[in-house]
Amino acid sequence: MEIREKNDDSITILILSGEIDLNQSPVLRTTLREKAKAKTPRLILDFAAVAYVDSSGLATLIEYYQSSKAYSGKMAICSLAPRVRSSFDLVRLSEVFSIFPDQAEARKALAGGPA
Amino acid sequence: MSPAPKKTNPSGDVILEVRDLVQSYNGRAVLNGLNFKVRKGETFVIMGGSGCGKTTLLRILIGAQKPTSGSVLLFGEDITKASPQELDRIRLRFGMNFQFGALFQSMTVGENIALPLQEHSQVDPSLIEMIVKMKLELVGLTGFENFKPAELSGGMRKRVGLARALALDPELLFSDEPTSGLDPVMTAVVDQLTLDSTRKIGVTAVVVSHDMTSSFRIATHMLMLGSGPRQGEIIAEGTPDQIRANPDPFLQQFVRGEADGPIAFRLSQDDYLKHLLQEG
Repeated sequence: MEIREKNDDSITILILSGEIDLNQSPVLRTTLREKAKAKTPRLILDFAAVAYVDSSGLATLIEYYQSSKAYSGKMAICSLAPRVRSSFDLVRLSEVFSIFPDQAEARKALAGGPA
Repeated sequence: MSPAPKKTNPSGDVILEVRDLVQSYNGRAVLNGLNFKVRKGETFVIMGGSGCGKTTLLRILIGAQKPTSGSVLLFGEDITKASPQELDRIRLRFGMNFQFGALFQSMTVGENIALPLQEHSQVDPSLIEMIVKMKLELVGLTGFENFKPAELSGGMRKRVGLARALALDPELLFSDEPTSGLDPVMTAVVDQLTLDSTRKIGVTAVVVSHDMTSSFRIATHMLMLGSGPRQGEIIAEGTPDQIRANPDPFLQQFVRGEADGPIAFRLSQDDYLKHLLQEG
């Protein structure tokens, strides 16, 4: 998988691509731990180019979510392909994370509240 | 611990291919020259009566038993010729849901589900804990991590077995009689779990079953193994609609669950006499 980073209006956007599986989720975990350590106030994870996410990838997202809560950080996920969205839905993570249809909606939601 | 295997498949969309498979015991062929293919995304149900060789076939498909002859290509690799190390690598790509769960009784539910991740991945223990919770949510058993298998009902144990089979997010799931012994509601629940895994996240499933209602509910492709005079052969193969429309009397007796028909409960008078008078 690849991770590209973009910073815009005090929002950090991570554009992910490829498959997030047992081999690749440690790459995502390293990046997200850095973001948690830096207390990133607003983070968007753009999944538009992600074809697959497994349970280790989902657990990595939960771990970051938990860490960011500790410093009142905000996290949004956007642009999930239907099959990837199903992986979130089946274990009810759509009820846990803020998920948006596209990056613009996610930015609007994160820009709205306090950091 | 070994890294997760690379998801290559030289056979394209064919996940599993069985070629000229024969299994004999004492010169009697239980499986006699089987040929079939399972394609990516299918829910492939293998049906057949008691003693038709379903379980033997499943054991061969997962590499737990070597056939008398023939080959089984899993993800394009012939597992009948694979070394134990190669087999271990291939096994990481599929999950096995055993008929009675095959859970370790001394371990908790959570420890049972975590085991494949601890043994075959380098996932951090804190993440494994979250994965266990997600798998339990998937099978409707949130909060049961610390229970022992003996404290659960048969249906719950079956669902824990399914959660463990899915722990490593396999591309292919083998399921042995996933609904046998369950009441109609629990059967529907387990069927829905299979459908969720296959239709929603794209897992390919090979299910061995003699439960017709369940089979027609989940299958995209079906195969019927013969027994008695047609032991070891494939009676019919096709989509659920093709199976329903197939006029083969053996198949229709099985599908309709009728006592009278070519699937004999007893030997014919002549065969019984021959059997009685047979020496040795």
